[in-house]
Amino acid sequence: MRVAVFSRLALLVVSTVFFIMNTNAAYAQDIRTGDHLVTQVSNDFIDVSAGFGGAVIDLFGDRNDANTDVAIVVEGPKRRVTIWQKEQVMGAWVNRYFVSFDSVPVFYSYALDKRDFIINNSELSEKHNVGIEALFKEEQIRKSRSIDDIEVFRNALVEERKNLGVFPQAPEMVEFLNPYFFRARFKIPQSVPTGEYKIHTYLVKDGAIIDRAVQAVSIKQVGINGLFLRMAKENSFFYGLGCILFAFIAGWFVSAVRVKV
Amino acid sequence: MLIYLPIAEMAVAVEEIFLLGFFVGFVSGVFGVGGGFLTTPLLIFMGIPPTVAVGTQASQLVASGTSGVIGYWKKGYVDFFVGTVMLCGGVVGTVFGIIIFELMQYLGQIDLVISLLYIILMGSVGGMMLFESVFSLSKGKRKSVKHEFNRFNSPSLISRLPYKMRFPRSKLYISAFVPAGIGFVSGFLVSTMGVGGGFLLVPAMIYILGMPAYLVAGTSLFQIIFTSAFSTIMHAVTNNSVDILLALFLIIGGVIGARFGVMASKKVKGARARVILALIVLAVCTKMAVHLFLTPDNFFVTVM
Repeated sequence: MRVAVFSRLALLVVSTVFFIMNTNAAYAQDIRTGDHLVTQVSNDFIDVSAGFGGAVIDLFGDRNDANTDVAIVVEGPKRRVTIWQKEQVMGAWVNRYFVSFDSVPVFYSYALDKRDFIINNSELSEKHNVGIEALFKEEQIRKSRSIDDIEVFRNALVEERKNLGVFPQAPEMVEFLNPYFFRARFKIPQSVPTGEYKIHTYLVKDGAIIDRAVQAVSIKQVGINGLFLRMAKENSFFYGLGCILFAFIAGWFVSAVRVKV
Repeated sequence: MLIYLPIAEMAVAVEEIFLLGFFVGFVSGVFGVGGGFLTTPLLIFMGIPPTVAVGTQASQLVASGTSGVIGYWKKGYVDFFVGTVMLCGGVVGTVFGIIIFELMQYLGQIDLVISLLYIILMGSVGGMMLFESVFSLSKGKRKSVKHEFNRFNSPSLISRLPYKMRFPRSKLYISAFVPAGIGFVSGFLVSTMGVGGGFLLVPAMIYILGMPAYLVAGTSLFQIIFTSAFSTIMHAVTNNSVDILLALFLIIGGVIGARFGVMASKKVKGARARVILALIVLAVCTKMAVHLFLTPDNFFVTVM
């Protein structure tokens, strides 16, 4: 009886240890960070105040092997986006067909040291979102039943985002200050959506990722803007009340001035 | 100078917002109208999302309504009893409007609904106003309409409605459903279009309710203040779409514009003023219609 319990316990312990070792091994295999690559972002927060006029994020990095390629991806928070295609109904142009992508980054940019090394590298593009082509994946999609070709919708979205300056027209260049030390610059436009931004850097050798690093930048509204946003989100009833109160006072003030003059 | 709007999460030029407010304030000063029918479409043309335009405009109506009503109140030209009954209908209409707004947003048709409402309402009101004012201009002196209003007989259907109430100030004995119904329409317009609806309320209160004309403007303003205040809170809570910075610059521009407008109003009067107002209303309507019916440059619209 006792032996049976012990053997069962032993089995449990052994299997648990194996399980932990296994996941550790898988983890270690997936990311080997820090061996070949170190990155540092110039500023890990960007304050958006009422007079915000855009910003720049510099990413600095150091690699220990000059015979590698560098790919950098900047991604903002992801949101669902719906694209409507207009069609003429009784003369009026009406939103008719839609395609929704579940997680489109509000801001996206990427930088490469050479233009072409990501071509045919499905690991980089599909798994790590290097390049705009990789951004919208099949399984994220919801759409009108009659729509088969989502490509036009995707292109329309990308084109719009490019015009807004939140998607890149072309990849940024990774500049090397010496064979090991590099820098990439990303412009953040004025109308930037706020949130947590992530910068992933991949070091690629012979088509395989040998190291990677991640940096975070928090873009937040501060000051009076931050206060208003927080109020509106967390206490929307009192925010609405505040707006009304302000409007009442403004209206009252106007009529008082009007009477005097 | 560009300014970042906290709720819309976008940068806009302050001068543009200020000029827009100024222009609308000027128009409202000259013609004595709310001007909401100009603000919402102009904000949308500027690239502000329709939800933010409508939600913010509601709070701006509170400001312009308050400044307007005080003058009438001092002269005793506000019937608070009728106004309150209308307000009850206004609250229900606002809730209904918000539900429609939410539903249409979900279906991706909110732009269409706003455009259609504008084209139909503005087109008919502007058209009638133009016709009437041009007609009276060509005829010279027009007859004083004020005396005809009260003699207008209420349709028999309205007099048969239940829950009749006495409104001593307006000398009315009428079903409470009638003022509440008019308030309902106003609430619906505020919450879906961001307009006070004075252009509909005033004639409705004169012709359908049969209120004395001198009480109409003040009472409708009184009602609009509270209906749009309620709509502001509803938009803030359900859509999170009231941008206080946007409202601030609209109101400042509006205040200054209104002062100049009042000065200018002494020079433009009567039928001639109504012709100009009708043309402005029709211009907005035409712009909306062109936007809706002309082949667009871009066949795709993205919605977050």
